[in-house]
Amino acid sequence: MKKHQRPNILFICTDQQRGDSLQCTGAHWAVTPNIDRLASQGALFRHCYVQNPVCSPSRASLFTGKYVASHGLYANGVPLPAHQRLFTRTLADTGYDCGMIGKQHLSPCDSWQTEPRKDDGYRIFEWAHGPNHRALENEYHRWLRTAQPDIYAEIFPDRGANENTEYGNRAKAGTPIDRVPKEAHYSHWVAERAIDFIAHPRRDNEPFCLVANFFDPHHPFGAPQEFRDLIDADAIPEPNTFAEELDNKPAPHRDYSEKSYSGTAPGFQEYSADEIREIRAQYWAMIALVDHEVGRILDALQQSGEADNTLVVFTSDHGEMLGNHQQLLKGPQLYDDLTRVPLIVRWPDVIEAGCHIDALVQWVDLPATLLEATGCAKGRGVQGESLLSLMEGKHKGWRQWAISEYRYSGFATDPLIMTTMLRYQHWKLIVWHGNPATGGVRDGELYNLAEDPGELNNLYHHPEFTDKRRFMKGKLLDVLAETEDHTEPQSRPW
Amino acid sequence: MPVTDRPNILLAVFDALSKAALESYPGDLPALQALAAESRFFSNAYTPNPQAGPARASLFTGLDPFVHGVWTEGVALPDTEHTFPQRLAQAGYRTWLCGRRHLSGVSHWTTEPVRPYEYTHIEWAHGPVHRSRQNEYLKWLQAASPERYGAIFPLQPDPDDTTVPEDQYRAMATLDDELSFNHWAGQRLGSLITSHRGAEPFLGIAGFVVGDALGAQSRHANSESLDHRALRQADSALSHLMDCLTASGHVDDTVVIVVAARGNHQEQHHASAPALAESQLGVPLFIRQPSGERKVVDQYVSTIDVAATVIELAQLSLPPRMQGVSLLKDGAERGWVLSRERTQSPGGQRLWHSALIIDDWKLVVTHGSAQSNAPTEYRLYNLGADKQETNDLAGESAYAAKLEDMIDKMIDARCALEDRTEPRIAKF
Repeated sequence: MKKHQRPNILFICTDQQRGDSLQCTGAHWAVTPNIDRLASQGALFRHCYVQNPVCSPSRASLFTGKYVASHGLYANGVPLPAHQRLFTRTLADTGYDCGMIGKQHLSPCDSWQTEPRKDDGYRIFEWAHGPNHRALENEYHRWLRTAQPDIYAEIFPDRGANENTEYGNRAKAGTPIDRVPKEAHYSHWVAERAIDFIAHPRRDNEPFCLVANFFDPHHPFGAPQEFRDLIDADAIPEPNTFAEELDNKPAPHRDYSEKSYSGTAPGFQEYSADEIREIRAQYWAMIALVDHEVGRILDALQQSGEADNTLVVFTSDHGEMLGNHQQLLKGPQLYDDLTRVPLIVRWPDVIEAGCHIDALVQWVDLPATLLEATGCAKGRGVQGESLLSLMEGKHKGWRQWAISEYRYSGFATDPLIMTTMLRYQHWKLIVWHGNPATGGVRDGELYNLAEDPGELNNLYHHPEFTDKRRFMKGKLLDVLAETEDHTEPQSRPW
Repeated sequence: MPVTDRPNILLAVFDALSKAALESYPGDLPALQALAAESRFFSNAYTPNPQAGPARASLFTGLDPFVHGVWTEGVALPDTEHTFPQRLAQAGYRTWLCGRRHLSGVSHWTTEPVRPYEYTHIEWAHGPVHRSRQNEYLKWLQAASPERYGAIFPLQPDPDDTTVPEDQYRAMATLDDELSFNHWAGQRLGSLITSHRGAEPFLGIAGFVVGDALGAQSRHANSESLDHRALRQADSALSHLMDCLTASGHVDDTVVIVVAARGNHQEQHHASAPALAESQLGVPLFIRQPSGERKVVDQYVSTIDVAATVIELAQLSLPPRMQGVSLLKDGAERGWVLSRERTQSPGGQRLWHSALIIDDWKLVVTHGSAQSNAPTEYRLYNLGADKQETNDLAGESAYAAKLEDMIDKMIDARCALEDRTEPRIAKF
């Protein structure tokens, strides 16, 4: 590292954004000029995996640097155990001005619950779980009431409780709040508040760390019309599947095709082909809106004079099935659709502009990276590895595997579903756990990503690949051992 | 007048004693044999970790080593975890410990720090040759027999010298029974029992030491051999404790639990014994209810389950942060055990092993490096037909499918032991 001044951190995280959804990651129909430019100025990771395919457990791995088996937030609706430490706490303790704007989801938010503050180190906590979330503490709604009172009054006419807490999940298409003009949109609010945070006066040499969390492109599938108008639906390919695909997949795949979220949300089978085409277009319209707002934040950073001394991260907490494999939304499936996310890191003068990194990296590596970049010790509990040496082209022998673990993390079923993904080199094993983990039927998936990047051809039961399957299971045992929590210090030999 | 009907609990914890060594002990162990004959007796009890620190932390918290954080030797149990003596003390029990505790690193004669509100009375000593200034046994020995103490522990010019000369071991080994460590632990705990006058129930723990390191560094890699003399002395101490219960009128309202934190290696097998052998993992575990009813339980159980059992005996509700299941209900046993060792050779090379025992089969994995193509090695035993683990079936093609089935189950067992203790309180 050449730098001696501690950098600012601008951590931009979207929700439910696929790794291949940017123009710079292969979606030629995407309208993402600002994010693509960011990538051209920094490092673009082509294979970044999240540790869990749904929000809360994945985000817990981000904030703690721990694998899902270790941080204890194994499912949505579980609060992060109180003894876990957030990396923002470490940054605040070492002099950073920290803030969080948008969705965080380290505690249950069902039933319009307000997410409680953790020992997080933030000066600013402008929280809003989502645009439809009716907690009184929804800062977006507070802003909207003032900034756009007519729009707020039109969409949220009642002031009392609204018990329809899964309203957004059950909507087949966008809800009214998703389609408001961009000046009134949640994504615009995130950018407005981020711009304000960046411009906040600070002492000399007081760096900042801002976590700016967008809700888009999380469903409901709706975006302002001006961004929908930017998307050519005909340029978007048809969903990645073939008619008989589900025949050679573990049985629960069919359930998740019929209904999403364990039966509580509309499923792929309930949509016509035209409707699927339209929600795919809406998805990229939401991404275009995010890109527009990210552009405004990056402009503000430039204008503040801090851009050269700011480490910018752009990423997302997990993907979206988007009709591929005849499925929508997310769940126990551990396809790349859900587990691979965008990851861009820009740090002028330290990270070479325009470098593409093919190494398998994981979300759990991000806290270690930020702690190293800010001169902090990795600290107690952090399991990931810093990506800095990888980005500087110096690292030899980076790990060749990535893991993602679903532990009935989404909507629960009976029996409980647990799945584990191991990516090792160009192979992928997905275990559908059985006894003694859960009463479910043990099954599996095995993909050769070199020949079948779309994960259409499950080789798990194919006699020709018995040895490969067994090899991958042995490798999984080693990776599971590797990812156990060995962070408590050994203060004595015995 | 007792204000509750909560039983007293007497717990004898052996440091390193395999079930096999206990059963093949050449001679009488009258107290242990009598207790075993009047107990709920677990014929297949295992430790989740063959190392002392992780095993004891699991025994006392009811959590797997990769949940409580003590993943290898010398790691201190984090302050955020709660031991069952802490939970019982908070619920009004008198809690006493005499002897070994070992919930943090004690090498270099380090004194273990006390945990807040764990023991209302503690007389701590890691072992007879552990030279911490706080070793209560050595204080007692020095007072009881200054000559013998002086002969065993001549003034050492360097108090930080942690080697234990052979003659010190020998002198310790020839000490009169009445001056032995386990005798001391029994005497001290016995006097607490007989002098107990309050209405509160008590939890009395005797931390016996029968491993041949006697509180110093083990002379073998990651295990100890049985000190036969120390075991006999512990048996006498147990006999004394039962006498104290009878004399003080507590025998009918006291549950007695005997358990070892981990097994041991038989002396002659040290060089050749494979990792995670039955002698390292299989431990004695029996629970004597005041009724003295004998019941043999064959299902596989783990020492992780002891904490939940004690908490149920104390009539407390199980805390959410608890992975063990009570051993008092028929049919509730987990039926399998995953035991893991994460240590290194003196040269710093990783020695990582995992063992799954289920359905009379045992799989032992020697982990390769996840990083490279270094092979993972397997050993597969049919324990039903081959209790001595002499016939490794892992390499035989006829057992390839069985091997894969056991690998599947080990993956699932690991999944079952992950930290999911935090309650799920909402859908999202």
